[in-house]
Amino acid sequence: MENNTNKEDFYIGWQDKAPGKFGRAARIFALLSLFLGAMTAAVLVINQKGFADSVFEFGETTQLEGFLTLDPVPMLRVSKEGRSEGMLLVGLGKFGSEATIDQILKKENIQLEQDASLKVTLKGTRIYHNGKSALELTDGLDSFVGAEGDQLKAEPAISSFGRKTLSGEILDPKCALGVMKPGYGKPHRSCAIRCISGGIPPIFRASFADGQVLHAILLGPKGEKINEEVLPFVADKVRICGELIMQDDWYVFKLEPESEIIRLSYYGAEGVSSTCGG
Amino acid sequence: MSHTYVPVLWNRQKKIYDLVLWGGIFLFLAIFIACQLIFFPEITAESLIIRATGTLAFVMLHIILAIGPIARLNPVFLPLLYNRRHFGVSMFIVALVHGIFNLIQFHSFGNSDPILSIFTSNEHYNSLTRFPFQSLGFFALLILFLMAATSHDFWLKNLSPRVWKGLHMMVYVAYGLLIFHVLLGVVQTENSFFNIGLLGIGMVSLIGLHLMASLQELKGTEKPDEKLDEDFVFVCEWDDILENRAKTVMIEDQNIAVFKYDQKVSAVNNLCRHQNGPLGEGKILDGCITCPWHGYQYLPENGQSPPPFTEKVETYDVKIIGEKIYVNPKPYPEGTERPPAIYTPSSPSSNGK
Repeated sequence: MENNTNKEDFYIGWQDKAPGKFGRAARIFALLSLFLGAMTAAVLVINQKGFADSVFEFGETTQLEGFLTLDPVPMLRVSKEGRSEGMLLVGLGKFGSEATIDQILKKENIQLEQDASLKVTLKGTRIYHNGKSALELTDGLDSFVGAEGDQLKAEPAISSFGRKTLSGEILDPKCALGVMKPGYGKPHRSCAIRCISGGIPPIFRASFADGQVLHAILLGPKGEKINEEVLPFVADKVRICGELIMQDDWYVFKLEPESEIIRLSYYGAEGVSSTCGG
Repeated sequence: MSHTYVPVLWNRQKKIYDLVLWGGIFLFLAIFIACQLIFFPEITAESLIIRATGTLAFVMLHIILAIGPIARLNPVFLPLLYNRRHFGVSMFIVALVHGIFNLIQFHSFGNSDPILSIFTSNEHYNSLTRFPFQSLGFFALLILFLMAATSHDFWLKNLSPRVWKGLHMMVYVAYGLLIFHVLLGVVQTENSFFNIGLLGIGMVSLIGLHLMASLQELKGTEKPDEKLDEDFVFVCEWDDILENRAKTVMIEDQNIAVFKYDQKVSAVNNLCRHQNGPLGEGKILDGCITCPWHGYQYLPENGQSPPPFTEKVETYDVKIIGEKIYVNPKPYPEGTERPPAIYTPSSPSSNGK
């Protein structure tokens, strides 16, 4: 008869030590799991699509002098390397900058016309990617450092490329230019929707086969805001038709009246074509 | 086992288990972060945390779900089953970090309540490719939370083993939700062969292991129908059961474990009152039937845990005629004393009428 207290071939968790073969099996399983887990981590990371070399200077505010304009969207035009660069102004979190700017102007008793510009000094957190930049008014009303002189009539250099069809994604510039990585695609859709519904002007992002990326500020036919209208299409692959304009250093795309935003297949090609429709 | 509730009843094996577990967690995170910083240093800290914890939690869930069938297929893996609840709670903590960072990153600091935003920012519920996959992750995390919060014998006792087990079987619902969460999220976005390949390997492995364990269980549990009389059903020959071990039979929906020990035979219900563990796969140690899952013990003659423990299982009448063992599948109430049948090859003996 087998010894009634023989525990060598039976495992009990509350015993101090597991019998040999049980301990060995557990060790093999643990080592195998660690190896497979490590391999999974490495394989998944190495085979990612990668991330843009965009920058969000989180935790670091910069003071900048330039011209505040509201057309086509709130922007600070700064001088950089001898040329003028438009920095999109965005609010803290997932909000646009309009409310903050309105409060600043009211507080300073300034009535800034839509087609005017005013020399101001602002401080905020810089966001930039691929030659385009934005400034987050991180400190709210305290982002305004001062204004200088009278407002001037803004005279932007505008050139039209005519009617175009763009294929790509509708996004928020704050994330697309560097706050989020990736700041596009399906996982980021909810965030982009929050940002655009919070007042950040939508932009259209079309990437080309050669790696170039076009960012265009997206407006209605008369240059009006269309944040609410585009929400159902944000971060989807879509095709839009309208007029492509270069206003200073920013592309602006004005949707054609009555034209629909067409959804494309998830992995559809992006780009620009010279015809509308079809 | 303990007759009082303490947060964690530590012993040497649990300490080793947790040490290896958390060592593995930190090792995985270290490898993930190191690879990320070497190959894609442009990533933001938030995205890195979200991806590392999401991947780790999903890998851990696969291991947790694999442990059950592996331990059923080969009892040498039983140490993995013991303390698996610590594995589950650890996995929930990792998943919670993933969920919180997602909530902050994608839904907070905006014009909507962050939780509400998970369900209302993307409303394409009627489209598979545009489906708001984050809502699936939310519900899976909710299930994992309920499981982690009740992952203690206090809840097992107070909810009853049946309710507790039912709640914890929802891990399979969580797994299903997470498969779609991953498939419609990162797999769809990254569009990589490796993502879909690894997801497929994980799913197929788990389904295969569960099928194999179920088949083995079906084969292992006999359904005898040879009757001695109106009450007793033939179980097996005396020599078919090893000393201090059991034969498991399913008769008239009764899952019965017939134990052989000290020239005697006793029958008890096969399901341990702790977590429905298979008592028939256990062993008699120190005079007690000992459950292979967590070491809960019962006396074979009355199905009662030795004092001060209070767990009880149903008992059955058994009979030995010559070399043949018989059982009456009509159960006695939990903990009812039934004298064992004595093995005397020359003459019949039983604990029945």
